[in-house]
Amino acid sequence: MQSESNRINQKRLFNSILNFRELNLIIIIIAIAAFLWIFTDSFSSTNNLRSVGVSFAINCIVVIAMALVIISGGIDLSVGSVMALSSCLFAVLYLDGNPFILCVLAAIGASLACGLFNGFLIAKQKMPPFIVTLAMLGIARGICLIITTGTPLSLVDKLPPAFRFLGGGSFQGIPVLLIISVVLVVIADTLFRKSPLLRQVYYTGSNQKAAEFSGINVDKVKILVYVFSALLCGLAGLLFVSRYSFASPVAGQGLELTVIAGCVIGGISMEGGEGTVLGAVLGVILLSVINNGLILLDVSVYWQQFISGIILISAVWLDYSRISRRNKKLNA
Amino acid sequence: MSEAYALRVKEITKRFPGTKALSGVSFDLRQGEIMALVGENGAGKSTLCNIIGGVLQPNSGEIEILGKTVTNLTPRDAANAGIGFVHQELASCQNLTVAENVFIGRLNKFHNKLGLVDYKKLNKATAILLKKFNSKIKPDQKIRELKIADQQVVEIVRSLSISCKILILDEPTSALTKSEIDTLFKLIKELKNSGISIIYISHRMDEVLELSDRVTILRDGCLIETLNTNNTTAEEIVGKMVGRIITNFYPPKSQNIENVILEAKNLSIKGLFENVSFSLKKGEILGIAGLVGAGRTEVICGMCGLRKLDSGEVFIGGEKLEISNYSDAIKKGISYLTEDRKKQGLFLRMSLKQNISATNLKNITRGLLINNNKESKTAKEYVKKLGIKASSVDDKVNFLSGGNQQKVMFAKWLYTNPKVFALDEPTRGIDVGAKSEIHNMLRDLCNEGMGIIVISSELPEIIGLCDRAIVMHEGKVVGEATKDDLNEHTLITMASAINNNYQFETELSNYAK
Repeated sequence: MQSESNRINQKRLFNSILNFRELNLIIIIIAIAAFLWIFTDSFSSTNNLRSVGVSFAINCIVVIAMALVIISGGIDLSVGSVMALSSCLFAVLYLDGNPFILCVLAAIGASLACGLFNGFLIAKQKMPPFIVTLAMLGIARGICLIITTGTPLSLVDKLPPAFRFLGGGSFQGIPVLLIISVVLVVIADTLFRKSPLLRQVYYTGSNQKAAEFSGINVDKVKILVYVFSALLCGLAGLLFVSRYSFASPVAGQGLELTVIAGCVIGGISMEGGEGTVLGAVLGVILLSVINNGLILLDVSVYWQQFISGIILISAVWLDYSRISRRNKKLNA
Repeated sequence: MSEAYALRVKEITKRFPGTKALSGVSFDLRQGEIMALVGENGAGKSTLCNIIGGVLQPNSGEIEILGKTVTNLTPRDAANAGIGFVHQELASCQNLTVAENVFIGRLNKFHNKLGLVDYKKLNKATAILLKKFNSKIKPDQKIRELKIADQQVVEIVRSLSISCKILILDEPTSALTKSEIDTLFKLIKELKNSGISIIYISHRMDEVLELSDRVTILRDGCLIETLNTNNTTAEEIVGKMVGRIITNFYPPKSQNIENVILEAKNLSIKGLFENVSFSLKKGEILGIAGLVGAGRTEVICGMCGLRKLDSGEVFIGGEKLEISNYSDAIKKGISYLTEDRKKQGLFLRMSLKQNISATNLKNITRGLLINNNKESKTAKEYVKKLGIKASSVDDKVNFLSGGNQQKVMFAKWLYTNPKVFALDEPTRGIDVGAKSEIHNMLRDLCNEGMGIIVISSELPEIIGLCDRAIVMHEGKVVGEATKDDLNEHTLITMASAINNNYQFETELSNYAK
């Protein structure tokens, strides 16, 4: 009896940390990594691992933003554009000779403004998130092109060294950027599971009417969600500049689709109210590792999107077949 | 065969994991008869009808439709065999027209040479069908523009247009007003006279007695008995449904009414209600009676900040309530339990404990984060206190039964420690046993010193449960009754004396039945 209840407790504890989906993803990621490690010479090389880690690090900050919005029952298509806007605005102002801090504040401020605009129209005007953020995708991207006249801006050797260190430096051989993103993921995952404010996001996404009738200020929650999403994207934009020493008006194009795919693969329900940051991040890791594998295996880059699409559909298909199998079992 | 049977169900058994939803149920439906199917929630009514309609497959047993034995029925087969099914929750496509809904899935019959739908022909065919019902519905109206009753008519017309011989109606009146119900009943009787056999599911005994020829009673998945309606009474049916004779549905009235805790003065929202005033005392249950659409729900929403009042004041414990939104009202001790638990009340895909803590996250938060142990512990307390049946507080709420879901709603609101607890139709769609349990629970809360407001469309519930009641009509309070005055006769005469409106009087007297 004692051992029985112990076993159940252990299982509960285990389940509370990792759900079915996350466990599966970890296994798949390890399997693919092991495969690449054995069958390619370069996968395990420090350079390759660094580049995978760093490319994943920026996406990973954006995927937190996307997870937040989707869990609240919405969608944010403007993540890539807002990220580009933050980096371009920073670069333009910085190249004009403005003080570094001012440029950072302006970049973050512009991102916040985008988020506030999205949130206000969605929460107060009750406009559909898809439309509002699709418009913002165009507006923010448009501003990038206007202020840069469409050309990438180089900041090589112009950035303060401390800022360079964030994107390009290493600590004990580990890229600082990767450390930053891992810390952000851990904080975000904890907050998503335990913070009362984030819990209100889950309630809102799960059933907006019921949330309203439970005394939750749904409008406030929604506005905050879009503001935070844009804030994270703005931060990602600055880290992008710090990493690559340039700002491009076309950076992050299509990023929204990659991170949405990551969220879905990671078990976040498009209906809202369900999913974890850990799952979404694992989804993005899976996509990064597979992309890297395709490069190392000399598969044409043209295949990458195709394969990402197949993985997305397989993940969702597995999910649905699991649900329908369970339902069949229930009805048998 | 001496009699013509439309449908014979033989020894149907259906198992769900852990439960036997139906065990060996057999019954016959004669041609041109109305058979009422009654039973508590979870007795197996819906499962049985879903099997007849081809939505579910039985584990064993046989179904014979119009003399032919059918196996592996799908919904399409069932429709082809002559079974029409009007679901409780209407399944019409809201943005399509009436005609498109009636002929949904069969629009290819109306294709012109180009393979496009010939709308003239389609609308004409629909108009002919609608005419049979003397209905004012137009074929090219959008479904969402219609009243619920008319939407129901469209569903029935759809079933009849595939020449159904057997019509299953699953609680068709739960969202209808009295006059709409009358129209529907007339329609059902006409259908019966034209030879169609009808299975009628309902919780309302008056409807069952008025309409049906026979009553089949299910309890816990077993068929208890089929009675001739003429030789039975509501008490007998209810007794057989619950397996015991319920002598007194309602708990005793309050002995201990204290001072006023809530006072609403001249509440108005333009176009919805005007100058509504009432007070509530500690330890009292106040009923708000009236028809659907009288403004009852809106008044309560206005009182607790869910809708913005145009004018009026609310006092709680003598102190004027200054609130800008609902969460302020909750903090001041006012809670409102919504009518529709699935749409407005519960987070169906979230766990039981997360549902309960939704109204009071502050209480389970330590520092910046939610304390999971405290959350579970709190939920477990309410599970025990209210007798919620669930295997764990981590269970998702959509796996619970209707009665248990309603109890989760209660738990969620009791967790805010309300002084004033307003409930909107707290027992709608709940079976007799659970209803009685909820009434007793409300009375207990009241005796512990809470003030309770109950909005109800069932006059017997208002009279049986409440200590005092106000009657609303078209956004105005038209009367108030206490103690001995609180009976059907007074409520009706009172309403008609103040408001000399013949139609309302008759509606209300019908509704009192």
